Amino acid sequence: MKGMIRFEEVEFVYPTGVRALQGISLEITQGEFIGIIGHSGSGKTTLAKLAASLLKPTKGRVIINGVDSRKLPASEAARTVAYVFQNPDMMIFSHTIKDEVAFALRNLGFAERDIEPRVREALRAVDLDKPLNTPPHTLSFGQKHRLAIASVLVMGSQAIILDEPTTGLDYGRSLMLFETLRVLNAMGKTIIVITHDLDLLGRYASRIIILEKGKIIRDGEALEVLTDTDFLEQHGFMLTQLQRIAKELGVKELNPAKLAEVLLERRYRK
Amino acid sequence: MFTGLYIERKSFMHGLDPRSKLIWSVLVLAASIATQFNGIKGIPVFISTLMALSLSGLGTGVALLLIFNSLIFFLVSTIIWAGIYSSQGTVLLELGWLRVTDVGLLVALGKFFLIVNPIIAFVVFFASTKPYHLMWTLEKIKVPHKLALTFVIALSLLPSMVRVAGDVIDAQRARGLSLDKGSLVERIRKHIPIIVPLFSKMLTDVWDLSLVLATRAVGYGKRTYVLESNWKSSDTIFILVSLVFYGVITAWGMGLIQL
Amino acid sequence: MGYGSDTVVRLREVYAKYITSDKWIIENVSLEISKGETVVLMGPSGCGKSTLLNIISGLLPGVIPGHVKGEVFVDGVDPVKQGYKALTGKVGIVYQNPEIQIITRSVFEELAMAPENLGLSKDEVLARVEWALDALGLRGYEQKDPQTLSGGEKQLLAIASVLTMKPKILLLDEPTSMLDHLGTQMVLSAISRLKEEYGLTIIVAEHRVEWAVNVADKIYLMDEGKILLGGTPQEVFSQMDLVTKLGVRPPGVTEIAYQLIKKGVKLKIPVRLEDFKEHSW
Repeated sequence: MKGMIRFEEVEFVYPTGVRALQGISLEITQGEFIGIIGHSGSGKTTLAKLAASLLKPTKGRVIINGVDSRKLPASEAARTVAYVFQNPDMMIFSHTIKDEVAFALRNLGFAERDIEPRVREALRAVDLDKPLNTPPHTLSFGQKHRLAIASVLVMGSQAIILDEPTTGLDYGRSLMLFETLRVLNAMGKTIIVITHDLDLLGRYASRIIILEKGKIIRDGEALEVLTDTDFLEQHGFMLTQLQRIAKELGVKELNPAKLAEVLLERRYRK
Repeated sequence: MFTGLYIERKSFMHGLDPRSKLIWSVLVLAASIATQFNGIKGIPVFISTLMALSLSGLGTGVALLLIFNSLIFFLVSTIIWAGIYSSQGTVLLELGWLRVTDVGLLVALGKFFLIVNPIIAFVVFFASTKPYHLMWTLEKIKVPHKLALTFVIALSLLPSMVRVAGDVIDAQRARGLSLDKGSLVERIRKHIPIIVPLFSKMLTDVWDLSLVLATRAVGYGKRTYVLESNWKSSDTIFILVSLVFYGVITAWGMGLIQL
Repeated sequence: MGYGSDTVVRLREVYAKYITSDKWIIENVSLEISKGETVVLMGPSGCGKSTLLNIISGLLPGVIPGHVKGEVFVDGVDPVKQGYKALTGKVGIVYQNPEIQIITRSVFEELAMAPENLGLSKDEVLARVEWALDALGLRGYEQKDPQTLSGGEKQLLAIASVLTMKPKILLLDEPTSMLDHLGTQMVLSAISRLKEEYGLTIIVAEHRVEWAVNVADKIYLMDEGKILLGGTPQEVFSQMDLVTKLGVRPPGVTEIAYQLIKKGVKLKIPVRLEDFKEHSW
C-alpha cells in the first residue's frame, strides 16, 4: 500500500524560535484510523497542520500522495487531506447550512449543479437532518460541530484530520461522532484524530502515535499501546479502570463485554 | 485574555507614573494639532515621539513596523492635501492632474504628523503601562469605574483578536480558500469568511469575560489598589520638560511666537 | 419546617430559563446540599447542569437575563429575590475554558483582583493572596504572566482567584474538559485537596465519572432539565437501565458488571476499582 502521508525527518520551528517537532518520520497509509495523543505542547497540532500542508517543515519533507508539501498550497492540499479545527465557531460564517457546506466546493471550483447533491450527502453522513436553508446560528453546539465536519467532509478528501473533536461534547455525542468516523473509515478514508480520550481511541482506532516534547515516543497498534499501562503512566497519562483491569488480566482488550467474557472464563476455570 | 497592548519591559517609560505618561500623550496631541498646517513645525514632535519609543524598550522592530505602515499613509496624505492646497504657494512638482506646491507639501506633512505623532505617543503609553495601572489612572481622573473597565477590556481584546484571526485564516485555508487570487473586489469579499467568525468570537469572548468579571465581584463598591503607583522626581522632571518643549512648539504652531 | 442548619444550598421546585429560550431549561428541580459535601452533576449536553450552576451562583437571573421560579437558598441568601449583589463573595464559580478566565498580566494581580474589588484592606488582600497561593500550590508563581502557564495551571489560578473571596461554596463547570491529562490530574487532585483540607462545599459538573465516584458524596444525573437520579455513586449506578438509557458513561468496572449481569451473574454493582477487586463475583 502506498504511503499516503509521509514524514521524512521532519523538523518544525515556529518563527518565535520554539521548536515544536524534531526528527519526525512516519508513514500513514490509506485507510488507517489513527489516534494521536500527547500533552499540551507535545507538537500534536503542529504535526497535524504539517500533514494538511497548513505549515511547511523547516527541515525534512512531508510528502502528501507523492507530492512534496512545499509545492502544495494549503488550499490545494485540502482536496486530499481535510483538516477540521477544534472550534466550529472559528469556521462557520454563512447564512445557511447549505452555503456553509458548499463553501469548500465553491472554493475548489465545483460546478453549481454538482454542489447540492454533495452537500446533502455530507450532511447525511454526519446525521444533520435539517433543511438546507437553516441558519447555522440556530444550531446547538453539537450540531454546529457536525456542520463543521460536513463542511470539510464535502471535499471528498481521502484523509480527514480532526483536532480534539470531542471537546465540549458529551459521551453520547462523542460516540456518535466516532461512529461517523468509523463509517467514513469503512468507506476507505484515512482518519486521524487528535484527542485525550483514550477510551474512545481504544474502541475505534487501529493505531496510536504518542508525542512528547516534539518527538514520537510510541507508534503502534492501538490496543497494544493502550494496555501498556506502565508506559502510559510513566509518561503522565491517566488510566481508565478498563485499562487497569486489562493489565491485571494480562489481555490486550478494552471492550467491557470482552473483558467480562475473560473474567467469566477464568472464574469457571477455577 | 487581557493580554492588552502592554509589553513587559524594564525601561524609562515603564518606570514613569501612568499619570505623567497620560499628560505627555495629551501634550503630544495638542502640539500635533497646533502644527498640523506646517509639517516642518511637526518634525520636532515627531522626533520626540521616536525618542520616547526608543526609551520604552519596545525595540526597533515595533518602531520600524509603525514607520513602514505609516509611509503608505503619508503618500495618501500627500496626494489629498497637496490637491486641496494646489492653488497656494509655488509649484514644486507637476504630474498630470497632481500639482504639488510647497504649501501643499507642508500641509501634507503636518496632517501626517497630526495622525502619526499622537498614535506613537499613545502606543508608547499603552505599551508601557499595565492594564491594572491604566484602570487605576482612569479612576484617579474620575472616570466612572464601569467605563474605565470597558475601555481597558476593549484595548486588550485587540491582540487576542490578531491571534484568533490567524487561526480562522488557517481554518478557511483548509477549506480551499486562497486569499491571494482574484481581483481586488473578489479578494475583499473573500475576507468575509474570516471577518464573520472573528467578530462572533469577539462577541462571545466579551460576553464570557463579563461573566468572569461578575464572578470576581467587579463593580461591587470602592476598589482597593494594592499596587499603587508612586509619583517620583523623574516624573516631575519629565512633565516639566514636556510642558516647556511642547508648550513652545504649540505656541510656534499657533503663530504666537516666531522661531 | 426549618432548614438543616447545615444546609448551604437548597432548591425547591425551581424552574428556570434564559431570555432567549421559550421552554424551561430547568424543570421542577429540588435538591439540598450540606456544608462540606461534594456533589457531582452529570448528564448529556443540554441537560441543564450549567444552568443549575448559574442559578446557584446567582448569575441567573442576576447577570444573565432570564426567569427563575421557585425557592432558591444559597448560604442564607435568596439571590433571585435579593439580587446578585447579595451573594457576592459567597460563591465562587470556575468555567471550563482556561483562556477566558485570565484577566491580568501577573498571577499576583489575578489573585488580588477579587479581594481588591471587594474593597478589603490592603493587609487583608495580601493575606488572602498568600493563602490562595498555598492552597492551590502556586507558590513561586506570583510574578509570572498567566499566559505562560499551562492549561492546568491556568485552571488552578482560576480556582485560586475565586477562592480569595473566601466563599463557602465552589462551583466548577466542567473544569477539565479542555485540559490534557497532566492538567486534568492537577485540577482534580486540587479539588480533592480543597474538599479534604478546607471543608469547602463543592459542586462540579463533570464527565469524568471514574474520578467522580471516588470523590463525590452525591451524584445527580440530569436530563432535559430534570434530576432523574440522585444519591451516592453506588446508588446511582446500580440503576443499570436508567443509566444506559441516559447515555451517561458509567465507570469501567460498572460497565463490566452490567455485562456480567446480562450474562446472568448476580453481583452488587461496583463503581470503584477497589470495590471490584474485593468482590466475589
